Amino acid sequence: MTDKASNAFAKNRAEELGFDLWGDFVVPPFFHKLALDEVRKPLLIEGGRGCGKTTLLRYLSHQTQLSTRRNLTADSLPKQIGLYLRADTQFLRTFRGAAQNEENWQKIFEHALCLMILGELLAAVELLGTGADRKEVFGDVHALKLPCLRDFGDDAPGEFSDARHWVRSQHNYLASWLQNSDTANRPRLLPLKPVLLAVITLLREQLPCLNEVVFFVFVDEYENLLGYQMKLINTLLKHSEPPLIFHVAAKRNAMSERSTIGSEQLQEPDDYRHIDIEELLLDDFELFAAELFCFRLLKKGIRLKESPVTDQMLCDEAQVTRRFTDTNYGDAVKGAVAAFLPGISNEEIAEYVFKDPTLREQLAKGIGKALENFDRSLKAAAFMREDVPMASICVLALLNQGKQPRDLLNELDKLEAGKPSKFRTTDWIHHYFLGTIFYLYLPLQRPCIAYAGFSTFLKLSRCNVRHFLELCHVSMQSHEGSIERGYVEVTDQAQAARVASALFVKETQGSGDFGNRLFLIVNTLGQIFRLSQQRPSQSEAERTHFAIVDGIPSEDAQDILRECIKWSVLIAVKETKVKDVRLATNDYILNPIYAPYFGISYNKGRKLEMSAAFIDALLVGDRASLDQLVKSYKKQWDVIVSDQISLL
Amino acid sequence: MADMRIRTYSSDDDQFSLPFNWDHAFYGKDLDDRCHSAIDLIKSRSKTTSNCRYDSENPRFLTIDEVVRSRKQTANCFPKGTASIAIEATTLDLVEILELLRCAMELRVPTVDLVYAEPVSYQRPINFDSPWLREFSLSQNRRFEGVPGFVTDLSVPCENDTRFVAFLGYEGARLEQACEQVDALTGWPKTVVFGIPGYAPGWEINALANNVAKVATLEQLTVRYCSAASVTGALDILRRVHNQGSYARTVVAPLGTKPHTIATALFLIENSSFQETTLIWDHPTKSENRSGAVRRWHVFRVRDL
Repeated sequence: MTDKASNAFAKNRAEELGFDLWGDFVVPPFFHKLALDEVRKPLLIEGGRGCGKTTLLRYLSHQTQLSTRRNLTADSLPKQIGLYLRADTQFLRTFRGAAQNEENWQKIFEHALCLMILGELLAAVELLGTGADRKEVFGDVHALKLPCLRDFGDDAPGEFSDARHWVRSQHNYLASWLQNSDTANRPRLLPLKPVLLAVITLLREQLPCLNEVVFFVFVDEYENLLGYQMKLINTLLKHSEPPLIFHVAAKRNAMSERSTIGSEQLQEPDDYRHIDIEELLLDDFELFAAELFCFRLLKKGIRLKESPVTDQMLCDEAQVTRRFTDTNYGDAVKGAVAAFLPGISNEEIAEYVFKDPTLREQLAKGIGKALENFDRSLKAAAFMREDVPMASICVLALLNQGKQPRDLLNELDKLEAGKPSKFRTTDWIHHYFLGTIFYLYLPLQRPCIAYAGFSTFLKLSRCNVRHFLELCHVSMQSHEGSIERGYVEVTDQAQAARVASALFVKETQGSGDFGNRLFLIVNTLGQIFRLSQQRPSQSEAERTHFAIVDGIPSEDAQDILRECIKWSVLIAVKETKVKDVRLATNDYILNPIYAPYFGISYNKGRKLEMSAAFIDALLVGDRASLDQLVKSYKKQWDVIVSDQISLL
Repeated sequence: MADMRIRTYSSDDDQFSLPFNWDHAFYGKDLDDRCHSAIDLIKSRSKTTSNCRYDSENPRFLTIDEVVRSRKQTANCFPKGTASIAIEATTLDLVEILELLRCAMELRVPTVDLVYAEPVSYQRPINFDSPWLREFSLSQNRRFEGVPGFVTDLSVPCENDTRFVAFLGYEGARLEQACEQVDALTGWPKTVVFGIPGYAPGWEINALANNVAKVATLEQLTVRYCSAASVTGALDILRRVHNQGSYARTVVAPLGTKPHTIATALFLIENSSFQETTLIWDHPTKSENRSGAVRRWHVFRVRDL
């Protein structure tokens, strides 16, 4: 495999892609739902880590929209120009403490924010005037005058060409003053809106092309700001209007502060529109992911056979509707990627088990052991029918559930003869096959082949672009010759899924203020679901989610639960299949990207009902409580653990 | 300013056999047996002592003997004419050490010693069927928040830009957090330093194992090694990296052993002008009973501070 191809998926964080994404951004299916041209209301853009929020904002920002790689004319000048802000929160979080009162801190933060936005605004205008062609079309930006700045600072320049330097020096002075605020002189603090509106007004007067342009300020990672800083941003959201509109991006459930500086509260939908990227991607993720796959390879000069995509098409906003309505196109793209990342059907998995000496032995041993509880005269071989391998595999679970061996033999006979059999009519195969496959693999050190395939990668990544790209990246690195051969081996994909999964398990440690706790939660839940998977009966097959019963968790536990959702460690969905008479609440699914690491299913199978007390132990209990929790399930389920997950 | 020099005195075992006494000493929180021993030692060898702690929610202040004090007021806690002070580094953390060193430098205290007790063992709490058998729980992780005096706005692009040095220890979560929270870090040349050899044979494996997954993903990476107990070695690495090339600033994240943290503090004090060095720090909340008894004592004497 060429080095180029192996690196096609290496960059899967927005920060690694830089700011100018012109020609590098696959326009997502929901793009027109943002309705940026029409709606002048702030957006709250939400989504888990890696869903593409930052990449989207960077695409909408001036570095991309006014990119020098773009042939920009008066007609093609965007109607809105984004000013992207991702504040250095480790710096901004020093804006507190007894050295100033909160009112002063707020003014200092407003000053810092004003300088950041002003810097971006001036950079955008400078980009607009970069190159001789643009100078001719849009005017000479370096000749612009900004006398209004002098209204806000005695030493401020009146010329555009000096203004960026002045902004930077103001920024440096602020940083320096904050280091030693008790000795140095306080800077003159800028009022945000008056300064920015004055500058925009002057720019519009001198550059008529900007008359219709609205400036969008995108505040990324809003959740990392301090409470009073959020309030200021909320105030700016509430009072947003052209030519300056504020938008924020945050992780799910992260907008903890709704109040503004005044007495007003931020209200949806009056004050902002809520956009959940993962929710919007849900219906079209399969095609979008396939397009991303093709696009990354195209960028390395590799075109997949039968793939109809071109990079121009994927980067063109005008083509979005066509891409996601033309079924021929969609099928061709998805088919091309599915051929490159081939999956394996359940039937094929069953045949593979029968052909693989270790797995076959594992199955025979399991059936033989189960038969010890019934009729010792029967041998495992009688149940292992090569003509109906899926049903034969399910026998292992059914015997452990107490089904009579002779009845099962009878049903196997019927199935082999092509007659109606309970394996089909009562969905035994549907219910128990995949669970039994994961069970057979658990003691082994190799990953289950059921984790392979484009469609499985989609399930594992669950609308998370970064997870999908990482699965592809590790797959492509796993074996030389994939490009030349035209596909990645199933076993290599399965191995890649396990490696990528382990990386994401470890990465939970970096999930915010409670990263260590979230890491423990993932490991504890993973172990519990693995224990459930280790029950040979598979009576509660493919358990990967839980619901809370018998009470309400403590407030501390609820805080951690919100943190789990914010960082996409758990995915909350409306509860289904509620037993008894209790009210439905939420099901909490362990993010399927962790499944290959723990050897569990990526499907939402049977539910584990956990009492509020257990949830408290899981979410906020000490280490001994976690240990106890795992042990209690081990005892309750009578699981004999003979294996251990290996270290990375 | 002449480069400061460090002289290290170490005991052979858990008995503090070193012939040192001090006029005044600062110490921190008593979390476990090792801290207790360190505080007892400091109190028995010093004429006067002060308890000291930092609260990241109130930056620019230290709480000394239960009184919240600004930097200027902190200087008043050094008895007039003090000839020698000890900073008990087992119990104090980075920010307290930084502020006290800065005060000592301004007051020109002739003898400044940093005392450190190596542990016999660390808590290894995750004892259920966890795959992460090497994970330790030495602290609750926190957010990376700047320390006034040693913070730079990293969102402002810096001409000639920045290089990054991270000292790594047992807790892999801290590097994960740094990469997640300080996204500017992605584009910088990076040097990561492992404490090898560790305090005891085999300990270095834990630091390597717990960080390797993240380190393997870093680009523009240089890996260096320095004895876990060596302040001079760590300081030497920092100085060498800082003097290489034409970068405008060096950003340091001391996420490893305490001697490496002490070296970071000394380096930041030595190069604090013009924001040429910057600290990124996560203010970890140390777990109680995180370590066992004392293995060995060290005194790091700072000359030409």
